[in-house]
Amino acid sequence: MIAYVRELAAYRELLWSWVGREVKVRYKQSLLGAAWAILQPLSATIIMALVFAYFVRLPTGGIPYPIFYYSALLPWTFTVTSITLGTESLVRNMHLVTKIYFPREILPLASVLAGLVDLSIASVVFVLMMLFYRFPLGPTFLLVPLLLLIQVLLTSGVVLFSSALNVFYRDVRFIVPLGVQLWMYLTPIIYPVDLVPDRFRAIYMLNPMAVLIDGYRRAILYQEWPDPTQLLVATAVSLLVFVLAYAYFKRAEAVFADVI
Amino acid sequence: MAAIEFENVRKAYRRRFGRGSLRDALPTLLGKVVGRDGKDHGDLLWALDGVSFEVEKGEVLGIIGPNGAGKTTILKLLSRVTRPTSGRITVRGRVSALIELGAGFHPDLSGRENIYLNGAILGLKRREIDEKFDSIVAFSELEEFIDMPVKRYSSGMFVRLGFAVAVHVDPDVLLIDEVLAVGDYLFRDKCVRRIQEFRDAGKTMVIVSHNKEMIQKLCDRALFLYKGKVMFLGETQKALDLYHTGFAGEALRREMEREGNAGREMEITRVELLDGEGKPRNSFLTTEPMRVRIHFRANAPVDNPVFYSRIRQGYRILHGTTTARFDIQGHFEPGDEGVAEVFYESLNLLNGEYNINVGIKRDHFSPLTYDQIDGAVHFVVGSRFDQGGALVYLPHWWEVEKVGGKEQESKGAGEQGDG
Repeated sequence: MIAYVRELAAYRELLWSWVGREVKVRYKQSLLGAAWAILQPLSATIIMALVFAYFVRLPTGGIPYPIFYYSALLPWTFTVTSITLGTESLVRNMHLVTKIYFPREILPLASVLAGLVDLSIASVVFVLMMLFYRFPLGPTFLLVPLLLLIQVLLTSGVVLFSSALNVFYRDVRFIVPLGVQLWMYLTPIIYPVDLVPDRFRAIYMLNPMAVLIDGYRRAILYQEWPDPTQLLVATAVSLLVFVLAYAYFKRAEAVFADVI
Repeated sequence: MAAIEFENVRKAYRRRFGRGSLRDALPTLLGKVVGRDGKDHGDLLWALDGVSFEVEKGEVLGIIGPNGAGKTTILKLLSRVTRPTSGRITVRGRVSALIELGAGFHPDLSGRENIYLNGAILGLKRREIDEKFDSIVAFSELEEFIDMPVKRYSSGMFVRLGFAVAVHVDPDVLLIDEVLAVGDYLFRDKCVRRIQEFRDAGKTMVIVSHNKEMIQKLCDRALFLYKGKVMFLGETQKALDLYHTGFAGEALRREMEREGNAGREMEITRVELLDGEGKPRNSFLTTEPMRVRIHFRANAPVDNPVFYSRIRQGYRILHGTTTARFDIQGHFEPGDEGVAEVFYESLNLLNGEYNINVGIKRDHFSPLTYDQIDGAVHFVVGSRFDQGGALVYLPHWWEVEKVGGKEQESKGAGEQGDG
């Protein structure tokens, strides 16, 4: 594992170039360019706000629904986009994989890192929302970078695994959207975590994404510290996913060029 | 210490794997569960089968052989794109491959952006690209188009930019695969010069090419590969000769044999190419003897048919001859079979692929034929570097000497032929 990371470090310039390429290519030739990174989650938020604030009236603990939803949608969109684009990253660039050597994880990892750029663009709207609703920031906000780090680790793990598997079985591209949808409903994005019945809560919180999304909300909107045990478990699970996925990826890498 | 060591390397490809879908994989997975091996060894394709060689530092090795011999597989193994099934490969130093030029280009990005991206893919640091940027652009001759998305480039421009980036990587070991097959002549010359500079600078190189002249000009030694095995490793000219006399023609060997033309008054049943000793062969060295043998049958009484044979390159006829030019006459009755044969004493053609039209005409000037086969047989010719370039071998030599004037310098015996 250390050898892998060392080699990846030697190729870090390529990783950055590839991230740059992903970002540029994503918005080149689209009329609104990077504005899409904002428009997509924003329009989703407006729709959801209409449905859940006026028709369904979910209990959000006094938080306006738009900002309640957006605070979860923002990080979740990052994971979804990374997985969707990352899964295809190896197959999409097969002409490179079969011709030139470089650590192949650069391709899926670049999709994840490029997703971070989208995330920061879309965060601008969140900041504006915070100002609009006059939400103050508390010391709990300091936790956000840590949560993001764990999320990047988890997302990278999933993407490493799905992109490698997609090389062998193209079925993966059909399974991924299904899995992502299921994962979304198992994560407190459109609803608050309080709605989950107590007896399921322990199992529910084994999903590291649930801990992370709930953690963002608590840290930013409610100014609460998350449960340390839950956070620790989420970190451990994310790390495990990443390490196992990376190990699998490097083992599979040997035959990518032969089967892709 | 050798720059490259290849020790008993084998590489198998599974013929059926890939095109992956779960449905195809399920039987294999089930097979494993049930306890069968799950691997179908009969389905393995050995691209390389026990290949060993070494390349010394600063040496240039050429790899030749027909398509499917495993040449590209060797380069892919050297560049670590794929890994050997068994055996050991050691490469010392930074490797760069001029394999697929512009493979990393993204059509929506500009030439400038693609230079940075492609440079990074080939292992250049950003700072190195900054330093070399102007030189790369100058080499590509694309100054005016450098900020245009490369999707608007012509294919020639694309290749030029790709090559320009690739040759600015400063590797210890350079792998070159048939990259000069494209691009215009002037640019190609520039590329060959660049490769020679690399050679002079003492870079280790492995070159795969069908272009015999490039191999002759650039390589210290050559490896002749056939069906994944090393046939010969050693002197370049010898490897090329072996390839051209023994194997190149194999792919082309397709003896013309026909049946069921009994409706014609005379028909050609078979055409074959023979060497000086009467053995069937489809590849020759310049100045070797060659024979074209036409088997025919008469289905009606025929008087004085004229046999012709024409050597062509593509559709251009290079040499044509008929039996009428030799006043050969004869009468054939239905059921008669026979052989008409042209003897070329010395095949004065240079490197290239050729084919032959044969036919039987009513008389020398008539356009009417009893039977004819265009491209009946194909053959390749291999020539020595000093026999000249282009099409025809005209025996010749060069002399250069100093005359009078004191400042004049002899340039020595230059390249022969037009290169």
